[in-house]
Amino acid sequence: MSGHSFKEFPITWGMVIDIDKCTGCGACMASCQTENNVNPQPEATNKLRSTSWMLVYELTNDKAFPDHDVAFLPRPCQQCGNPPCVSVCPVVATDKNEDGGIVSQIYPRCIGCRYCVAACPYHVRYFGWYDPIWPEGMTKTLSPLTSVRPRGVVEKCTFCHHRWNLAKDAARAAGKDPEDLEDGAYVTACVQNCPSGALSFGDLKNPKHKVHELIKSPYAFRLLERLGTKPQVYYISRREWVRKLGDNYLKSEKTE
Amino acid sequence: MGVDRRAFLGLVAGGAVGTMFTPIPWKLLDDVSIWTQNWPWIPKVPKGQIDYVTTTSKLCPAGEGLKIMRVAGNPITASGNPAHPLSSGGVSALARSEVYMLYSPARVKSPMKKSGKAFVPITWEQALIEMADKLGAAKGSVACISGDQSGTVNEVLSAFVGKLGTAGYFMMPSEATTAAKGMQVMGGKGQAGYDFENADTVLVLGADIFETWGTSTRNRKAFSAKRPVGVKPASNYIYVGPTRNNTAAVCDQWIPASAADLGVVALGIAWHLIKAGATSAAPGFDTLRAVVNGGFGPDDVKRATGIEPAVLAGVAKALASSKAAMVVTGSPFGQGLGAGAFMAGMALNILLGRINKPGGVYALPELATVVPGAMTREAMLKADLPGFLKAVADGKKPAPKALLVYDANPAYGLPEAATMAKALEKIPYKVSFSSFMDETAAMCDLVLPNSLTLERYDDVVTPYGSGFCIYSLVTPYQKPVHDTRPTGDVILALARKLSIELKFDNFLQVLKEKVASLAKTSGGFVAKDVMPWQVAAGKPAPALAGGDLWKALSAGYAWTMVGSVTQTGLGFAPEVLAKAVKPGKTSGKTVTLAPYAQLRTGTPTTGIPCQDLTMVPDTELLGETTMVRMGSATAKALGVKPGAMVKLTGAGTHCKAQVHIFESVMTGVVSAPLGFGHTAFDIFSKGKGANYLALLPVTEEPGTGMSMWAAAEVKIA
Amino acid sequence: MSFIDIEKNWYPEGVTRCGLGKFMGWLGFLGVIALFGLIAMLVCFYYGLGVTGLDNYFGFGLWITFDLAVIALGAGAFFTGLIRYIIGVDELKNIINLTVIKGFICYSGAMLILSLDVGQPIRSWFGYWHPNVHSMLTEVIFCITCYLMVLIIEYVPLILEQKQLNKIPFLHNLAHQMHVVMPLFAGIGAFLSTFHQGSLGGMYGVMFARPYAFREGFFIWPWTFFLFVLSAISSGPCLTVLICGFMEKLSGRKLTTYRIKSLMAKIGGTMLLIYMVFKYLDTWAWINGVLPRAGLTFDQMFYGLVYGKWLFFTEIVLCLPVPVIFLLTPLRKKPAFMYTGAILACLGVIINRYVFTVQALAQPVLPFTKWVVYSPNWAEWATSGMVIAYGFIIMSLSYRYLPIFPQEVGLNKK
Repeated sequence: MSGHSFKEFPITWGMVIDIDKCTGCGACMASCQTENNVNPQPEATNKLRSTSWMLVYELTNDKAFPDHDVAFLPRPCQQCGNPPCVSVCPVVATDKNEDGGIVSQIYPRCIGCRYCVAACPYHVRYFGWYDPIWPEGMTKTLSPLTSVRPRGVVEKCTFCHHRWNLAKDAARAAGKDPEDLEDGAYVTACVQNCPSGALSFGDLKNPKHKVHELIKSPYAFRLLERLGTKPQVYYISRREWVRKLGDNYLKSEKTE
Repeated sequence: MGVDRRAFLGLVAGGAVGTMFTPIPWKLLDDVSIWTQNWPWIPKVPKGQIDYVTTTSKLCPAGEGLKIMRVAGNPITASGNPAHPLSSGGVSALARSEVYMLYSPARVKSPMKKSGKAFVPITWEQALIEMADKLGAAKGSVACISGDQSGTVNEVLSAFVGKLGTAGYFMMPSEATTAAKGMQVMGGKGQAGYDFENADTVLVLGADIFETWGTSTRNRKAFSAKRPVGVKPASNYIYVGPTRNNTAAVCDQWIPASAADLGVVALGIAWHLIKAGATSAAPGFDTLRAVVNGGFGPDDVKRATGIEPAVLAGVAKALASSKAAMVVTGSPFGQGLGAGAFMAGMALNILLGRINKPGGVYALPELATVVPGAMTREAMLKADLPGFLKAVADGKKPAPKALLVYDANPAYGLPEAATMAKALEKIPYKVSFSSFMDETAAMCDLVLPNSLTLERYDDVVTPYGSGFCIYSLVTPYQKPVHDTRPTGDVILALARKLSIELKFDNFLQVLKEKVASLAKTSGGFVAKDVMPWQVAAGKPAPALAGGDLWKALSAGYAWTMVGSVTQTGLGFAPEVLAKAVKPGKTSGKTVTLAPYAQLRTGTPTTGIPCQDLTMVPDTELLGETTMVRMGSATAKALGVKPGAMVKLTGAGTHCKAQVHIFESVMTGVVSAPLGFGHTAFDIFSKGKGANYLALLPVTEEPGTGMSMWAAAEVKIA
Repeated sequence: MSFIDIEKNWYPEGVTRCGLGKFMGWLGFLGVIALFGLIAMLVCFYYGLGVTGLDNYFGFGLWITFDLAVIALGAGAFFTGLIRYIIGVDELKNIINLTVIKGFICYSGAMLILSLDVGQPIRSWFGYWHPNVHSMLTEVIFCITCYLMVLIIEYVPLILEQKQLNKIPFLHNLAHQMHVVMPLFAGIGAFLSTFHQGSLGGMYGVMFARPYAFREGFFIWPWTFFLFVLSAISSGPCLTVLICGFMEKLSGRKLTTYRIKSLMAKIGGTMLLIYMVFKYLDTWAWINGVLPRAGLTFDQMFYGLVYGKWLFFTEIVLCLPVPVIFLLTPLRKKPAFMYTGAILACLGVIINRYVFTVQALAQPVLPFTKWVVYSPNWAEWATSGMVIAYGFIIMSLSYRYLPIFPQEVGLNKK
């Protein structure tokens, strides 16, 4: 039994992350923080308490010098096709029912029980341990597109959902079909600003979108696929050890 | 008449029951969710019309063009400007901070005057009067340190200081200073520019090209363009350096070598190229061949660096067989590399015939100066700041009577910090134009806060590393948040007070004149539909529509020019190379310190941008402790355990660190992050870790006489 | 008449109690602990949960472990009620009052902690208002609040039977009427309690992306649903026995016969045996089914000391077969074995709730993440201590003034 099944969406937003191009600079994280009104955190070195909807992990092949290798893995919310977090929420504060297949998070609904935090193996869910504080005056730079969360609720990456609304509005204004956006009309802040071009974004089901083809690459994989979460975030690496780190394998399976 | 008790109770009870049948209680209950969201102490987001404007980042040395989102006219976020050649839509973690850093707690909020140990706010008028007085008295001995590598404001400053009687105009040391020295020694002209967009095989000697070196955002965009996702890459990048840093992590090959050995590696590759028949008409080739054959054969290089002959032979083959090979040399942390390594790298470019070729190294011309009496960038880059300050500290040179510090933080951002601080203390009158209360500003007598990027007119002129000449404009989009002024304007006002003629009344006039002079430069065009690298590759350059240049620049487009200075004497300077390029040595209980810098920890002038602290991993900074990285073999040889607290000693000082085992650091090397250990700024920077730059002693490079500090021995206990 | 004499009139008929001064001293001691916890609670409400040791890896920590353990151990109430009223083992009337009070303490204490543990306590009732029928936690919220009401209904007649209160005819009659319908509430209570014990287990079992906790199941319930019910009804009676024994030790008076305690222990032991069989089957299926399918091994589920295998073996070996033997064989006749068996049974369920709460979250599912150690801080300990002190206070007051042990007078006749 793997939770209740979720429907398929004709538009399925997804991200493709080319690990072989990511230099680990953190521009995606920086972009996310300010785009989504995450407050600056003076104690951010405690990674178990700081909030970073987008987080860059450092991966290594665990070998000694000089065979050692490094890769960086940016991790937004995986927007699972079968999200472990949604069915557990007692108050429907998180859901996956809107076209686009983005796992929503309704802050005014969340009671802060953190069951979703426990259920998510990707650690994409963050709890507001304290009320958010900005240095004096800095609230003038808050984005009007994302609400500021009070403490005590869970928050997470939304694939910059507000940008989708902006893109649909722009399409309508230009007399185009908002349900059939052009490739690149809607991208998240991290994808837009990545200097390395490591991040791609689009409708996984739309053949006119680049990501539709990218996910078919033999080098593409998803995180913890065998748990049945069906993430909408794909990773690409030509390095086998990187792909192997995307999931757990028994010793007997490692010979494949 | 009247309501008796019974009727009243009945009314209340009936009303209560009746209300239960209306939607009111249920609506109120549901509204709790909204009330509990909007506590009075939770900031409200602004409302208003969203629009986008463009400018250029001055905080980030990569010089990206920015697209600023505004709400009701207030800047909200900074993104990359897709139309700008140095951004192409990308932005660094540092450039992203341009908007919120306006409200950084570390900002200097008004002119400040030192009074005892503290600062007191004063008015601009008072500040100008005092400064005119003090500088007038210091005439003939006024020095200036500038940290802005790419702004026309340097013209104003250098002309002003020049007319006051200069004791030196110094740029903070960087890759540009090293390259300028190297070009000069080799008899070349112009600023080295690297055409990443058209290169297909790139040998990177030390330079952290995708993090801090030069136009790093543009470098990555160029790298990315040749490597579409999921397809076989159309380029080959080889990194040589002491650690598999952010750049090496995405390169196709990493060759471990200490920063001290980069020149040796380059000449070792030259040996293979020459053996395979490479030749050059450039002056000094025969001597170079003799030098290379004499001491840089495969066995010599292996003995010095541990690199297998086959590895270098492979690199040489990859370079020689490539259509567009390029060699980029730099310090793994952006400063302190001697000119020798740079020259050795350039020698490879010359041998490969890659000078002024698409996908190679361009010798970029400098744009004409407009302020009378201003120094050229070439002249500014000649001065050796650490060497000068060291001589002042040692009493070998007299201390200047006054010092102006613009956009620089020498008290923090230079090696051998103790010596530099000593020298700065000897200077009796110091003025800082810093936007933030940094370590140097804290030492100064007067702090005259510069307005930030979004508050001032400024420009970015061909940052080092760019493969083409480029000019972009910085446009203010809001009134200064605090009582700050653009330093260009302050200097021009000061000049008037001192009756120094600088031709301009305000800095905007200077910029207008600069742009007007660009319009007259032949070959320049506005990069819109055609990008400069396309022109380098053979596409015709569009004509410059006359008169509209200021407008185009204000709209976020960049003026660019592809071209090169005619070279008359660019040669190998083999005699200097022979002296400057020497194998490094390690011995006994010491290890080589290999610092690394990242834009997410800001620059010495910005401190750690407050949002960027979250980007710093806990393998670099944990609480108040920074970590140094070393391989397990190194840790074993030193007898230190993973996670142990250690003391690093060098240059007469010491720093604390925690040991983080990281196997992508070559054996015998300890890798340390820069950008930490601030004693000034705010809660996001101050007291976080240690400044390992202080451990590096400044030495003089044989042959060039240049100060260098790229790799030094440290003791670990 | 002095106050000390008046106070004596409030005791149940025919019993003696310690002096008022001593009793006030005892309450004062407990009150200090409770007060400290109360302060911690207010600090948590004022500053937010940042003051706790919880973090984004351990959204669940000491509080949830404490709640789960307390609720499991509190299960003596519903299960004893079930046997007493529904199955009709009349002998249990001699201990049923104690189990009801224990249940009330455990559940109300757990509710107190839960209200602290949610980030937005003002929205706690959203579980009713916007329920997600797919969530096991919704089931928990429904059952636990309803069952607390049942426990209150069961506790009220006990209070009404207090000597002075019972003199009031209305209260006397009310208490009587409530007693008449008590089997109905026992039945409702048993139903509710079974479901929420189960859904608490289900909460973990459904986390299909957490291989440490995930279990296959039957219909909509993962096996943990049934295991949690079984472990609760086996440890619940054991705790009742322990509390009773502890109270006898503390008061120096006989409160029930050894026979009653032994019967409770036997009931607990029997359930423990059933639980053991299923737990062993479940563990086997977990090791050979759930884990390999997730690409993980048994060894990867353990780390260091706080997540060590010793916990596993303590729970599975020391705290299952050993107490089963102690409680179901003639060894039970010896108090040392009976009490040890009961302690082990309770310890086992506490470990079980701890590993499901904390270890399940600590186990790194993403291969490039690491084990993280969680340690509760003062705010969590203090508030948990407050609930324990609160329990002692309720129990002390109940013992002093309410006729909860029908056999007490007879057993203590000199």
